[in-house]
Amino acid sequence: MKPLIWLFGIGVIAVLFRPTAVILGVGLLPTLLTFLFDRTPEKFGVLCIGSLNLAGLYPVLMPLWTRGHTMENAMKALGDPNTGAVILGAAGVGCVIYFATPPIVSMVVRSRITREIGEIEKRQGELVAYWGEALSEDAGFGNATTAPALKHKPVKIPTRGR
Amino acid sequence: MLELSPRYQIQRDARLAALDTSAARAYKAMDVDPTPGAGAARPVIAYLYQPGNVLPLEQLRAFDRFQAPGMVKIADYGVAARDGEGGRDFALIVQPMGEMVAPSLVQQFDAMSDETIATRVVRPILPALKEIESRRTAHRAIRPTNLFYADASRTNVILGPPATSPPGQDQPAYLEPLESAMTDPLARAGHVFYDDLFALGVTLLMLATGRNPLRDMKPEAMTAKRLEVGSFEAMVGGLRLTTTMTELVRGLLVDSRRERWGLAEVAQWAVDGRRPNPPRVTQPKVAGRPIKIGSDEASSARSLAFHISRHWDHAGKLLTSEEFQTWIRRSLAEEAVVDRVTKVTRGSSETTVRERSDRLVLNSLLALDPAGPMRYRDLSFQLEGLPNLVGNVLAEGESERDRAADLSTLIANGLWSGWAIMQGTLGNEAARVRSMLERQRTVVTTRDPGAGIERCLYELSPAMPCLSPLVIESCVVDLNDLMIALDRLPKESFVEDFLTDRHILAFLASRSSKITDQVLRQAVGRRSALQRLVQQIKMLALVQSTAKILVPNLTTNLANLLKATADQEIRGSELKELVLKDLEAAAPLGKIDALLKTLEESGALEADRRGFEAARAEYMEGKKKLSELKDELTKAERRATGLGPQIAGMIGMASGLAAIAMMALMGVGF
Repeated sequence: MKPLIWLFGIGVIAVLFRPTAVILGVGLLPTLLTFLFDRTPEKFGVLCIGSLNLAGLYPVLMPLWTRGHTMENAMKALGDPNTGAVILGAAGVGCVIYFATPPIVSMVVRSRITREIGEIEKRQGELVAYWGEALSEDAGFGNATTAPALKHKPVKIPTRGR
Repeated sequence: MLELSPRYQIQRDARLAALDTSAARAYKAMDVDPTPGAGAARPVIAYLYQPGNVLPLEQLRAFDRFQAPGMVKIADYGVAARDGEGGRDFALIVQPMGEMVAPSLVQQFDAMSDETIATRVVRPILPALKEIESRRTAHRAIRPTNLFYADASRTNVILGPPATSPPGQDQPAYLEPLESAMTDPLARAGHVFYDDLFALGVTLLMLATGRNPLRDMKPEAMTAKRLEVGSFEAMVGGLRLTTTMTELVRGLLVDSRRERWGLAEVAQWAVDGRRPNPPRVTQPKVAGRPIKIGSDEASSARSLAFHISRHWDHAGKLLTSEEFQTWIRRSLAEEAVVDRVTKVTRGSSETTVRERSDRLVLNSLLALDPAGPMRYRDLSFQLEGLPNLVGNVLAEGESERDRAADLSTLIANGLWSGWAIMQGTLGNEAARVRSMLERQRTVVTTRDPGAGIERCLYELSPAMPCLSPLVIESCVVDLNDLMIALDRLPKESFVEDFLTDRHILAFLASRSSKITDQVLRQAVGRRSALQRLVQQIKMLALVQSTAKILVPNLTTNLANLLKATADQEIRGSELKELVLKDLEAAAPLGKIDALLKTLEESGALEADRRGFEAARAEYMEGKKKLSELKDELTKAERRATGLGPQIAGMIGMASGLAAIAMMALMGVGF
């Protein structure tokens, strides 16, 4: 149902606002491509690249809407090489953002965890340096087991012959 | 304790085995008196006491500066260190003797005439005997094998040294009066001069006949016969003696101490040539018919008591039998004895309860023979001899466990007290032992550290060396000796709980009023080895405060042991460093309390323990957290893969909106 609504909406725009539809149809090709290749269910790629793609279309659409919403102006705009550069440039920025962000996020998260690990290990080291290796053993303090050298000798009064 | 003068050099590789006694070994020695004009070194004889016997200190003190002729001169006594080894022995130094009069008590030897006995034996030893009597002491070792010719000419005889074994310990039963003959040789009384006179009588009999009076009889059979017919009849009956010798022997072998000849009569006989009044001899009352006990038969109350004590486990049955009651009433001729025995045994029935049976037998023995020794199961003793008996039993260890248990029962239940009352007025030593026994009744059966039969031993006898395996070879009699002995121990002896065997704790408790039960419990009962060691060292510090001698080897060894234990048990590096530093400084000083400077500080060890527990908790918490973080680290990649696109989407959207807003504000496209 939803795709039908989208198609109907696109159809209405295409009929009623033909020049805009043409600009959008060409200008939003990067977004369309992203839609086709974005595997995330939430389509965050479409959101990212699409937003910047749209921003790139703004300087093309605004003159169309303010200086004459005609097919001739639309075609003229599409024929301007600068128009392509702006649109693709903006979409490109979106692409960069989309592909660079996950590794940056990963780096930040890893950095935080690694720092925390480092702090804890440093503290552990300080504790062991002060209290000794026994800190990490299972045996408790004052356990009756002592080193072999200190083992108690059995005590026996020697018997004498009579 | 008194150290032997260094002028006496004992040759431990030169034994004089013929002079050995049951308690001491004899060695050649040299007297190298360094005093100018003393002359060349002279040979002497050294008797070295073996561990496990009460030292004869009191007897030797009684013989101090004994110059009377007729006895071997005691030169000196005291503790002598062993060369090279760490041990010490109690040594008695005597002047050399001539040849032994009789090398053996069992083999025959040359008999002497009356004249020889009077002039060459009795007259020469009389001054010594008079001196002994005047000092209110006794020799207690008069026998043919302890008589020596004064010199090579074999003219006169002298008494051998006293105190080479505990009083009467080496006297065969026939050389002892009846009461002492029935006593365990380890447990005979020491100060009764009249016992010496009896021994003299038997000795002279043996010199006159050239043999011992047993002939082919067993010692127990001789004692039984003496109880029935009297010692003189039993030993002399059937022998051919001159009238003169018979008079002397009869006078000295009287069983009643009161009637026995004294030195005055002996002097009259030997010196004056006069015939003293014959003694009044009361013959033992003999029953109309004998009664059988085991394989033996008894015809008098005293001999019945003697046999009952030798068949203890069967005695209960006999005493509760109709046969016994009949015998008592119809055959025993002593009314007083019959009354006493009837009171004890009437109404008693045979019982399997050991305690009840033992009490019946014990009370029956008292009733039958109140003058006899204290007898209980395998034990028989006179009060003064009890410390030596306890010492010997404990020194034998496991092999004498039953007798040790019987001694504990005897003391704890006061089974000896009825017998002690029957003895009437006691001598000083017996009274002292009795008083100590009363105080030991509750202590003797307690298993607390420092208590038990071991404590009883050291309380009973101030002259008993400590039997702890740690110091048994060092003749430790007092606290000074203990400090010296511990100072000489090799470092291998210093192990965990080295100072906690029952003997050493009992010895410490008995010799020092500062070593209380609380101190002992702390030395043994603490949970950690370090805390126990600290308490044990505190105990030694208390001992040193009394003994007042420096012990640098001991403090060095204790410091090493403390270091090793502290290293294992003290966790905090700061406290550990402080303790080790203190020990390093205090080790060579010889003052034990200096070792505990930091360790004794209130709560130091406890604070260390608590700190460690808290640190452990923190460490374990950290370990758990580390594990969680490392787990998180491995999942970070996956997280980033999920989170990244989401953040990218938001950044993209925000950037896009921001770009549009900026362009709108700038009027782009208008």
